[in-house]
Amino acid sequence: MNRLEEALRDALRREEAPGGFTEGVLARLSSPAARPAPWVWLRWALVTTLSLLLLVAVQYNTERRRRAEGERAKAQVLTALRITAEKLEYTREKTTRATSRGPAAGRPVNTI
Amino acid sequence: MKNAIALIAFSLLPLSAQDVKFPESFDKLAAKAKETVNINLDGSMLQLAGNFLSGQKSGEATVKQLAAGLKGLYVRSFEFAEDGQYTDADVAPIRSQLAGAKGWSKIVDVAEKNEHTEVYARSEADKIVGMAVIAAESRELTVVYVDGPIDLARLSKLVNLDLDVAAPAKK
Repeated sequence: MNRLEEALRDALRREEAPGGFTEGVLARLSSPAARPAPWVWLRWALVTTLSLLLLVAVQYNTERRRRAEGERAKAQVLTALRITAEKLEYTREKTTRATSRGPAAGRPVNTI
Repeated sequence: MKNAIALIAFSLLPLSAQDVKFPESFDKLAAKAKETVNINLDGSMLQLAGNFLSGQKSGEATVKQLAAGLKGLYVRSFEFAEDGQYTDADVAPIRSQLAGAKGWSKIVDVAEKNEHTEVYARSEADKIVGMAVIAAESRELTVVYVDGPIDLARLSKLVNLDLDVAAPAKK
């Protein structure tokens, strides 16, 4: 038991740090090799910025295309309904004109 | 025999937007025309257009209301430089599709010299749920197919409204 205690005491005995240990640690910490190089941060900042720019550009392009498609569809609806309205109005005028002439006027006119 | 049965069965089916097809001869007419209008708007495109139509401007608001309930809107219009650029045979396939389709009826038929205008309507429960116009003039041929409920009174207002409509495609 005593031998075990002695062995433990020996092993756990306080020892003074070797000379210059503190200076060595501090010097190591402040040395350029211990710190990440500034260009690493710059690289990440650049990658992040470019990714964001790409995302914004894609979003912008998608929105621009959607808007162009919507404006084109709008113009087509306006044109289509305008043509439909004009043709119906034209038909109404022709029907009115033809019926006012009476059936004896000739060409067939059927309205329901 | 099988083809005949298939044809009869097909003719008995009610028409929908996809079933009213413009004949291939219309492509040839487009080549001859000096101005053409070719519009195909299905439900999703009409919905998209609706998002861009103003609810404030009177003309656009009317169009927006008209387009809101539609499932499809299809137009072919050809303007020719001279007479005789198309024949009755070019329009016949449209007529036969509409004439043989269940639920469709011809509501107006006006024929004058070199001009023939027909309006077909499809009704369900006393409501017009589809309309087709065939306007054949000496130098102009227009076919319109509207799939969905259409308010004719509201539509007629468009004639006098100042709509910012782009000019048709010029050749």
